[in-house]
Amino acid sequence: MRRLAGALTLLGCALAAAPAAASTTTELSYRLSGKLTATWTAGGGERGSVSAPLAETGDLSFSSDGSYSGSVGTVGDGPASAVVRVVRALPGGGTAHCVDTLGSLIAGADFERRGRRTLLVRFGHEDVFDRGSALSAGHCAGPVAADLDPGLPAARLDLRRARRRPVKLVIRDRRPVRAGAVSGELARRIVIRFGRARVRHATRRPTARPAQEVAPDLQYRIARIGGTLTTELTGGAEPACTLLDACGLAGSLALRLGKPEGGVDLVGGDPDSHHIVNVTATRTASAGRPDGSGCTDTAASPGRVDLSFADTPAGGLRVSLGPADGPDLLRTRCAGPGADDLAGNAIAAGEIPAGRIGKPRISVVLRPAGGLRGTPFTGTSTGELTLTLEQA
Amino acid sequence: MTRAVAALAVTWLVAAVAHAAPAAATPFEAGVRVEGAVTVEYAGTPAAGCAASGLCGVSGVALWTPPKTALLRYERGERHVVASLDFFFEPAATRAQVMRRLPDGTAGTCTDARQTSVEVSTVARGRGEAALGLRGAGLGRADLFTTACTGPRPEDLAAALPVQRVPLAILRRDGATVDLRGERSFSAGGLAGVVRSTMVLRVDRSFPARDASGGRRGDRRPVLLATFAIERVTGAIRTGVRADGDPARCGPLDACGLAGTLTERLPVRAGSLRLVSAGGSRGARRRFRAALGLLRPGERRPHGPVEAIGVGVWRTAGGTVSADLARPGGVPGCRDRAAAPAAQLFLDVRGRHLEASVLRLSDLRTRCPGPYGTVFGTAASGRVPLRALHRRRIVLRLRQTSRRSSGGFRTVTTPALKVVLRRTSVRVVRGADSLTSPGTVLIR
Repeated sequence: MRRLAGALTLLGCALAAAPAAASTTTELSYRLSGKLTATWTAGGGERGSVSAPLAETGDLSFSSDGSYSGSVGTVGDGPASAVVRVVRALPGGGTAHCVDTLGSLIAGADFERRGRRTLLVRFGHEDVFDRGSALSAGHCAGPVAADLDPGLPAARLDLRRARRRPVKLVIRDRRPVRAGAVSGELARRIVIRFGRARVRHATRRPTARPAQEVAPDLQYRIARIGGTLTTELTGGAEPACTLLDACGLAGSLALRLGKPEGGVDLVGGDPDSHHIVNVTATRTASAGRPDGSGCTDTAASPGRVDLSFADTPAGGLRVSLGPADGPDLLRTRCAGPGADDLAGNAIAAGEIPAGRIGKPRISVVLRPAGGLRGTPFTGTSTGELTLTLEQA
Repeated sequence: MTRAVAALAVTWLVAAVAHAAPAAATPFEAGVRVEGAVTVEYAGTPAAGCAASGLCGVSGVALWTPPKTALLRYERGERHVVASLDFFFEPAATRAQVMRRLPDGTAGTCTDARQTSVEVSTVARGRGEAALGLRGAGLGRADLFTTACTGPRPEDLAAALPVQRVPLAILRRDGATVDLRGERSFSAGGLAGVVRSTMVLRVDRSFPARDASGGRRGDRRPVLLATFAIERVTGAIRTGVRADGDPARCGPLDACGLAGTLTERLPVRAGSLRLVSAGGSRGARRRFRAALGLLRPGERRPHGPVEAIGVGVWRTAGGTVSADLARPGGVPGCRDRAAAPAAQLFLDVRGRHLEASVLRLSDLRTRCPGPYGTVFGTAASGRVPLRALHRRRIVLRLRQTSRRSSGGFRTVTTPALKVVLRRTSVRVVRGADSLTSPGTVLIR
């Protein structure tokens, strides 16, 4: 969905720069359905599965100059939630269960025109709410989102054929999943039904150039986020812990963030501004239960953090680092907490004194915000992150 | 669809209360930060009547984890304060795990989870306080704990869910911290247990709500409105339920081999239906008048399609849904009776036919295991020739069978409903609001 939104933006830019010209526009609607199913075994002997129905409707529009736009329709009669189920055999007999939900997934699709006749369609999957719950084991033991995203399957749509009749494309594949102590399989069945394409001829009027943006006052590049935060966590109290097989669970979760990509504007933007920063998040979990079962795992994957700035009464800036849309920054392949268990939706926070704003290089220490206060996972965090900003 | 229907239903509920208190004040809104969660722990007990329902030997736990933020809206009327907590903006989760003791000493386990985007509406008597919490009433009652596993119905838990009264003056001046922590027991329909809440609401200072219409006036064009009394609704809607035969699907729900029937009865006591011409043009009104057989002598029959839609609401004398589910191998099944989901009657003129459908506003569920998330929407439908509108009394027979397959269950719905309508008036009114004005209250 984000990709389509981005495409819309690009289209807007393309239109703004284009001269007056006669153009041909091809319009077609699509309805996407299908299911993603993953099954796995994890290091502690857990056997798990997650099944996610897909649903998306939308419209595409291609112009003869090569630009395209897309709009995603509402989910409306949405499918059932994606449900994660993991079963663990207990040492003394019997089983323990973990059940979680990821919500309804919709399929994200990229569309690329290949020549005059072909449309290349690539599929991914994103959460309806676009919030860190792409297909994964959720809070249960099993794969993280990065393990179950082995690239986008693709299909080619013959546009000439689509102009004559509705077209149905089916993508069906199975891929092995091996990551850490997790091994399993991801099965994808994606069906996309295109309505009959319609061609429209129009003369497009040139649009006014967009107003020049005012140059921001204090642009900084995020040079580094160093340090480690460690959270001592527990699986919480009964009966809530039984639902996530977390009763008696105790351990630690360490988080390091590296390779930040992004910038911030400390003055020119909104004073209560949010900046999405791409990072590589490395999580190391180690946890055990009273019955002797345990799990250790390290998961490193690209992610995004939300870096927000707010004025303080003393003229400085309060900096808060929290989870952003995308893969969960806290999840590992062990059963454990996710970003939704963070107190106050923040990982760490700190302050830039008024006197430092405007300096070529600013370092600010971010300390744990509120730790974990979820249900059932709770914990306190220690350590610190050092955010280094360099004036662009 | 569910969200839209639920929103409409809640709007009607609020509108109905507002109708009772015509001098309603400005609505207020406030952001809410939400902490904690609510669990329900339950088991089949003889004292609750588990023997009759086959629920002895069942024990379970359900957890509702709310989103971190919500929106509070409240409005003061003459005699009530209507408040709603809207948990739509971020996903919340319901998880359940239910054990069933089998005759051979082993246990079957059902695990299920779903996302829950809900709105809880409360009505507090008096003018000075709002009731904030999860104990909604009527259509404002949210279904927080239902999954496909065996479990209590929302009405069983209503009195045990947390709620606190908060003075409006405090909400407007400073905001408030609403402590919903605590535990209460419940017992109904064979299941007894306890609801535990660790929820705390931190409500920001509230402000007058912005006008959602943006100051626009509604459509005030004249439309032709035909009003009908719903005289009778007889018959039943039978839904055959069968667990998916694939062990990978039925196994996690402890439902393999489960099969039976859900029977829904809606003994309507009174109701009314408003059928409105679509479009405000004179031609549209005239075509609808012709369809009603009300052209004046000598008046020419207009050309073109008739477009009209209608919504009916009714009161029932306790609509029920009965479950009778069996398991293979002589293993006890489950029998239960619960309140039927609220429903509405919709009419739609399509071509030369009048199509009628009964739409459920929530899932068809009992305390027994069964499909969830798929058995809402159209429950019964049928159609009659458009010329049936010529008569003052219309008999609609809704018998269209529908099939669904999702969430580990297959269902076949076979309605046998007879709806009798009697036209009471035809008049020209201004605005499409005539369809949804609060003269009629939607109550189960």
